[in-house]
Amino acid sequence: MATLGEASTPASHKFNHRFGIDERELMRATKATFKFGTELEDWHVIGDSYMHPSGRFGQDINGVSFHHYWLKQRLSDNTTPFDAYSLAAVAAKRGRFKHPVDDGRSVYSTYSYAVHLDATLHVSFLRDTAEGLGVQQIEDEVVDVHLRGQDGSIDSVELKGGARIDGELFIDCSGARGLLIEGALKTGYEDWRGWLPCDAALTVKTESTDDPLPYTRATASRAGWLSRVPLQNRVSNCHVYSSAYVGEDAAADTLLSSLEGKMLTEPELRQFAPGKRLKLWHRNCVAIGASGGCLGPLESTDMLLLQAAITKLVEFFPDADFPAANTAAYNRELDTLYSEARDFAVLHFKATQRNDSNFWDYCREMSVPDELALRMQLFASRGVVPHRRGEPFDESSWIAVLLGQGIIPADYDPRADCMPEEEMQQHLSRMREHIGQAAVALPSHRQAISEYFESGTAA
Amino acid sequence: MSEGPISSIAIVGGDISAWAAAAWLANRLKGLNITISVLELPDMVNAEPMQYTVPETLQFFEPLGIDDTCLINRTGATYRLGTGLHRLQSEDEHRILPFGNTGADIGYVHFHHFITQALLRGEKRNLNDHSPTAIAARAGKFCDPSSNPNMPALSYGLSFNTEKLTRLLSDNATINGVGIVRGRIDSAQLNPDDGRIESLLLESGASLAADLFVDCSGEDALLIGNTLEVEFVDWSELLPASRSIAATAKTDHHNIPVHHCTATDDGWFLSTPLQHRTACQFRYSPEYTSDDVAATQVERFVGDLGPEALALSNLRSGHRQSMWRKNCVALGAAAGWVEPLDISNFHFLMSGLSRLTTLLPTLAMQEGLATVFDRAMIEELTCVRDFGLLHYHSARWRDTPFWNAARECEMPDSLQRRIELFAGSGRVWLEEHETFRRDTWAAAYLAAGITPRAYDPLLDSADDAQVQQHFANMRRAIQGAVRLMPNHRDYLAQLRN
Repeated sequence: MATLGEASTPASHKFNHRFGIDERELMRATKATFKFGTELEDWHVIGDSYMHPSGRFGQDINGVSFHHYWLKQRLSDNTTPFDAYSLAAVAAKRGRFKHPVDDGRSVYSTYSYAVHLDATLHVSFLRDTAEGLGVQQIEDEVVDVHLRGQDGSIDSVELKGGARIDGELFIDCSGARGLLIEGALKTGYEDWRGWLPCDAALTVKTESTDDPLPYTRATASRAGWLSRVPLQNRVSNCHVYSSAYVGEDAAADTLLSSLEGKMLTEPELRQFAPGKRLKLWHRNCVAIGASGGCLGPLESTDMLLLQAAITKLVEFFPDADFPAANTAAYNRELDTLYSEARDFAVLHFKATQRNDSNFWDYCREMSVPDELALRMQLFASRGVVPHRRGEPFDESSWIAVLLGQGIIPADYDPRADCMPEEEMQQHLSRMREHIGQAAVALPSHRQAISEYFESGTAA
Repeated sequence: MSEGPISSIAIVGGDISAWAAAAWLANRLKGLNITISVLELPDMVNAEPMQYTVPETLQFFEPLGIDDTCLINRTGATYRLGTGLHRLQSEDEHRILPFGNTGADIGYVHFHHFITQALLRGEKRNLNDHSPTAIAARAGKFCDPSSNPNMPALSYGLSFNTEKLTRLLSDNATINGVGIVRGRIDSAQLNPDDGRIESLLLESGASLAADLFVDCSGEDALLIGNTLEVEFVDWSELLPASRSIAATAKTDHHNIPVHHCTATDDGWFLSTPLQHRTACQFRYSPEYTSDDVAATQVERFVGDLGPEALALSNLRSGHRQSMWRKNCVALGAAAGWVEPLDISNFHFLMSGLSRLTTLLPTLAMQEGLATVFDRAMIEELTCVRDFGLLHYHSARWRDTPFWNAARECEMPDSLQRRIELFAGSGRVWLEEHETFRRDTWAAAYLAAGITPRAYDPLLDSADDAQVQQHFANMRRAIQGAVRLMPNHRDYLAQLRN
């Protein structure tokens, strides 16, 4: 069973709320910790690192996004890192956590968070939840899929045990092979490996050597990247790599030499093919999860798309007629989400100055999807981040990664000049101080976790 | 390549779009060293006698320091709660497409599914019975929602006299330092290397140079069209009423705060209640109706014509293929215009200005900016066009050359897709840059006679009796509150004291 990343996303709160999942129970059951973002090391150049926090940077002034003021300040030799203006980033690095507040005037409202969780335990938790709601589990194998003569939609699946399962709507969650969507309906797959060359992952669990960090570490390697996801007493370590540029043994060596704690499991290999099913909903079959597509574990895109697909399926839930326009509308929305999430992931590989391996030479030189090329060009020239409501990653995320990957705009928004230089400097240094003080006032991550669980028991 | 911020903007035009641009840019770019001037073309007149806003347009007056009271006192504006549709679906049809929200979502299910469910059960139920804005509009009532917490949340726009609004905006611009140059353009000097407009040579011999040119020359599109040769994408086959005759009636025909759209055999009338008069516009196609016949129709429809002469004007629906080319940005009718069935052209102008400031270029004129600007602008206008086309779709039963021609036109894919989605599952598709909200779209589909074959299946998970009761109570509460509201007319009169 392929596991699905090991972190939720800031959008997961909404998802959990909508589908009646209690976050405290989920976290308890999955030995979860809080996540304030991802630290990306060695992606742009070796030795360089940045945070992609789940929160805003600074404060917009006179309707002009904060990063333009930071860019302007940079010109006057002030080299304060961009991260210093994000409370989530500063608190993460100090190993602290607190839940955000709703009051928009408070600095504690400027961030969101996600959680790190044990993927296997996550699956058990969801299975128990579903069974509690009356879902029946049949453990068997599919040996045949029967289609209806008139419209080619799925009539039933035949199991090894001899049973036939009828259905009006089939949801294909059979993983990358896509038993129904591909095996039976031959829907077709769009291969994105040209943009996302990593296609294998080796995972090892280790003992924690220290208190859990409230963020994921993602360190670029010579042919991929290493992730370290802190759980309550363990760390999940993973080497995600491109099998075209490194063999399994060498990839395992890289992983093992990066480990900090005692190994608890043997390296487990998972292969995947970045891409997307041509139609995520075809006839009466909806592909959800890896059967629909996959981008790889970077930035929890797969979790994000999985939850988005479920939410949209409920939003476009069909009646027995399966109106074609309804299916088309679902596919249109999902295709947009997939390509936006893909572009966000591709940016991490494309925008690099690394030239120490064939893998990075390839990434640096590859051509990217037109939309991403436009975003990169707009940001590089004038710091503009075109953004759609409902995109998988918000404007702050794009700015964090664009800047973090070394794309520094040639010009900032001319309207930032409306504020006199000195006033701006004062403004920015006050913001920095405010964030620094706010971060120090937070409890440690360990303490935040135990308090959260205790308060749940009391209530 | 040139570097540094731009230091001059020249706005070319003279109608409302030029002065709205001047006032907006002067306020939004205050504190920057940018000289803003308007080249006022002597032949430019406002093509439309009235301007209208949707609720979302009013935010654009805030940065100008102009509030509702000032707008009403200076321009004789009246409130607008939606659109009245008359004789579209049938000869005796009268309905209102209200602004704002209708009913309330039932869990995650949008309210209009509740209406669809009732219709499919054969019950007579009307979306508007659950819209506070529609109920107030029908009763001719109004109150400012922000000053009266006990009243239901009305959503409103305004209707203006174009000349008066232009004056208000030009005063605002001038006070904020915008300079005026008057004259006609003789020719444009382009940079031989990059094709940018360097300066405009005027007939007087003077020349006007600028870093950024804003083309507000209306349908003539003097810069974006004539100088930079950007093609016009013509939508007048889809929306054929490209000519209009404007007139004023001496009395207020309607006494309810909406603008009215009334279909006739040869086109349609737009009428707007003013304080004690009605502004009317007959829109038709010169291909099927002569100006004389049109004038007779105006006299018959209006009945009590005011002393002002009938005013003829032409404007085709469509847009420039690109609204930002080199160092020239087109706004208003120079960028695009849609037959004013749902009158959102002023909104299109203001949202263009807002986009331009967000994407303000430096001297380097970063090329991606124009791409982003064009995409958003064209999408916004296309959504408005499709919304207007729904009204044409309603009137497709009319058997006259004007309506037959409209009916025979192939429906654009974007609208076809929307209609099929609504017809098949009752769902409303929304693009990123919509002018009209979900509830307004749902009302428009229903008004066009499109009844969905199904409602959201999730609605069946709600307790039917409880939902019925809830909305019945809500409806009574709205009706009660509306009864206590002042008349729109009295409200306006008191505002002016």
